[in-house]
Amino acid sequence: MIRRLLVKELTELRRDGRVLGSLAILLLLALGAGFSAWQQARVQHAAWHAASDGEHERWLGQEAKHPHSAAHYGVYAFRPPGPLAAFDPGLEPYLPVTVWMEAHRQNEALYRPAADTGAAGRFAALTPAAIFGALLPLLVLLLAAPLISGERERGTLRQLLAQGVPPQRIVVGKGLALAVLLVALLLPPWLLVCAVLLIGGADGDVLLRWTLLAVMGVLFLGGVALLCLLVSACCRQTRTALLLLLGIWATGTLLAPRVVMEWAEIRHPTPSALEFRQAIDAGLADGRLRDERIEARAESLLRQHGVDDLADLPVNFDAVRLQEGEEHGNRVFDAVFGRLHDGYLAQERWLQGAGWVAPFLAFTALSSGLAGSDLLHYRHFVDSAEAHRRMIQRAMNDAIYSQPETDGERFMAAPELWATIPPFEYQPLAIGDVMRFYGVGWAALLAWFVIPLLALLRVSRRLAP
Amino acid sequence: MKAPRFSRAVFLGEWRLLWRDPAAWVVLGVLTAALLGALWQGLAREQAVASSLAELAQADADRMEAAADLAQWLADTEGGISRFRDPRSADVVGRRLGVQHLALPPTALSALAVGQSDLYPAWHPVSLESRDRLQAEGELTHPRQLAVGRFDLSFVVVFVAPLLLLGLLASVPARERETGMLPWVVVQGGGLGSWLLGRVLLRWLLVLLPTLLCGVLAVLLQAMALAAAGDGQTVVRGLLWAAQVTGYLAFWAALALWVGTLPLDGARSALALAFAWLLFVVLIPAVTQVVLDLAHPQPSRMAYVDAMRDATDLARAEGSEALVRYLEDHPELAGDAVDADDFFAQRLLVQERVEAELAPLSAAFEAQRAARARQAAWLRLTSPALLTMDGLADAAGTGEPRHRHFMAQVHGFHSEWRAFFAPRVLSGERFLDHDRVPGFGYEQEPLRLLMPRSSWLLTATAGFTVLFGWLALRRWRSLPKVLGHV
Repeated sequence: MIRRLLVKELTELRRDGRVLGSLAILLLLALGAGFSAWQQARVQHAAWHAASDGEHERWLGQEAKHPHSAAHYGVYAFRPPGPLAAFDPGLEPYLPVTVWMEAHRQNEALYRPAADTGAAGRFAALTPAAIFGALLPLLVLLLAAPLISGERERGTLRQLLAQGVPPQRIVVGKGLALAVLLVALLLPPWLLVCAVLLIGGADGDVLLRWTLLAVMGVLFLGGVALLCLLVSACCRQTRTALLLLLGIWATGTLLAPRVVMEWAEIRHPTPSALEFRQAIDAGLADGRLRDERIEARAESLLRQHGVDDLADLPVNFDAVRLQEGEEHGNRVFDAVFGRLHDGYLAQERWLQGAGWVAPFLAFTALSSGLAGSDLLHYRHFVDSAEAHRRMIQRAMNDAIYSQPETDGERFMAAPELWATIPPFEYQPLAIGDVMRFYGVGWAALLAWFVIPLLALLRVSRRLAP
Repeated sequence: MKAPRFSRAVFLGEWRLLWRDPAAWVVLGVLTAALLGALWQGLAREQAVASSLAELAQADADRMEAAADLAQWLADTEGGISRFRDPRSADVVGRRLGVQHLALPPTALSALAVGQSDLYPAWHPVSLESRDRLQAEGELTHPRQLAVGRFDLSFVVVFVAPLLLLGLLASVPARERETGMLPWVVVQGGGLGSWLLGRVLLRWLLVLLPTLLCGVLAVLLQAMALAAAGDGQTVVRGLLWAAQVTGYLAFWAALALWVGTLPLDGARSALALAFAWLLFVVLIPAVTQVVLDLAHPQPSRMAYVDAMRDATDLARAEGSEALVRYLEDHPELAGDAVDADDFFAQRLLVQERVEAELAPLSAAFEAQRAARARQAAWLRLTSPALLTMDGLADAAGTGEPRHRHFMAQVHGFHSEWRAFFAPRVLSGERFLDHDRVPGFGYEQEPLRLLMPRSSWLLTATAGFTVLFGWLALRRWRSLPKVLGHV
């Protein structure tokens, strides 16, 4: 019975020119968006490789100099695009691409690509993820809205029920037809990307992310389809179902993200750049703890080496001062940058939480998270760069420490010292951490799948003709 | 059938019907809530910006005053201080103590549209630091906030208001035909055309008037808060904003009028309007972005930084020679205090060399950006939503052109700053000219630059309105047949 219903539904969908037309338009858009996103990711990867390699070569190519001069020369860390940014560039255009790692200071990251794209880039972005998250649900609602309400309007639902067809089977048949269409539409490109990733030598992490994206897509799109069927089953007229679903779509996709983010900012305000920089300056200016620690180290070293003057120490005490200065700065940067990023992530959690009300919000947060183009990955990049900066400073200060300048001559480190510093290689966040952060988003999507399913099963038992 | 004429009787009859229509009240309620929410957000945001700018200006003035006092005290007492913190050093003052934050002041209309102001900072610190640093620093905004856009009046106008208007017009006149009301309309006199025009016009006004009213309220409140009403541009900018809103909603009304003349039933008519909204507000802008990305890929900042580092290394390696060469050209600046190893002078010269090395790269980068911007300007012609979004931001003073105009002034002032400090840094003389340091005065973008831009955007939007109005008029003759009256 269900098989026959399924065949009938698929035949009707196939014969509907509007369905084929919509699919063709969507396919064209997806091709254009996919090609554009892939090209951008390719160009960004190439630029990232060239800049990162160039930076390490410059670091290694430094002449003999004092290690602190090298620390001031510093290194630029460049942020690679997320592992699946070609599918979902997420926040990539709005995240700075580089950070300068130098002595004494954790600098703010620089250069958001969006600042160079002009106003046109702010309006809308057509990416594969946007097509999947915003346009495909629109197609689903256009297809699903008349599925049951249309039968009711035409009077064929009454005929089917009169023939003794159980109402649940009618609903299941229509749901399956929709599912078959979506699987036929989405499975080939998903497998194609899998093949591209495998041929391109993608690691297990990337493949796992791509698989999880598929799972999330099934939950999201399945939830949307079930909701549409539910509305269709409850409405007497197709027009009512369509307008209701279009209203839900427009509210959830266009209005909700802006309103939620405004609200999130009210709850977790972002400091102004002035407040942020003043907090750093005030923290750095208060060096009491640093001075106490330097004094304690001086006393300890003098005692340890049995001398009365720092100049008589067999080590270079300047290095202690420099390193304590770094430690002092690190405490300030951890606190101030930590507050900023914690506030940002709290806003991201709001977005996920709002997924309970509008599933698109959970989708958009999760999709960028799995693609590695979200704020969580950005913070991980910033933290990794900062850890690298601190490692360089410690290595340079250690080199100074072992070279007391007793004869008044300044210590010049040989280029071999620069080679002890490895290149900055950013490793994306482990997938486990990503899943932990986005737990609420997953739960919201699951709820948006299960609740409409249960409601539809309940409604289908008493389907009114 | 004759072209429709405005009929007062029809208009008043429609007004009475609209008054009793619950859908109209729902639309009015939703629109008012959205407008007031956006207004409140806009005003709060602008207040925060204004307070930040005031704090920055005060901090600059306090820092400079403290530096001048300390310099005087050191001069009087001949006290000692590290040369890197000495307020009598031109480099220390020009680079750190005297740094000035140049502000792009909000206009009385900035609360109406965020535009690009959340991406481009409203202020830039100018010092002896390299010009490149001017573009690097910015305001802190959550990247997701930037990505999804702000909930401002522009968003309400461009996205929400057309949806509400189309919601009201979705089944006009199909509903009347389906409910058998059309014969009653005809016997009342005035003709179908006048009736349809009155119906559309009234609903257009229902959405337009609250929007304009909210705009006026926003300008009044913002002007009171900023005391910016007297800058001479508020009225013109306000009129341009109102014209953009009116033109944009007129386009949607014309489109609805045209769809109303098509032989469609209520559901199809509503779907056609929903699809038109999706096409002009979502799809076309998104597709133009893809076209732009493919035709004019955005220049890479990573490549820029890479080249900048190479240029810096080159200039730094030649730094000492550069100073000697410069002093050969400018012997009058070679005071007793200068030697070839002077750190400040060398740093300044290295910086100038880096900028000279980077100039072609910067020019190429800007050329690529400009080509993209030109293409984007043409592509705006594909959708009234794109035209209006830009037009609203431009009128409010939060668009890209006003920021570019401001940046040109920032660069000009940076050159002035450097011209003032560089000879003093190179001569190595003690700096006591704290009260002669250049000051910045922002010059408003002249209206003669704004007007042609806005007029062009308005004309293009009007072109769309005329097109659909003309299409509707062409179908006017067959209207009775379409509506099933004959």
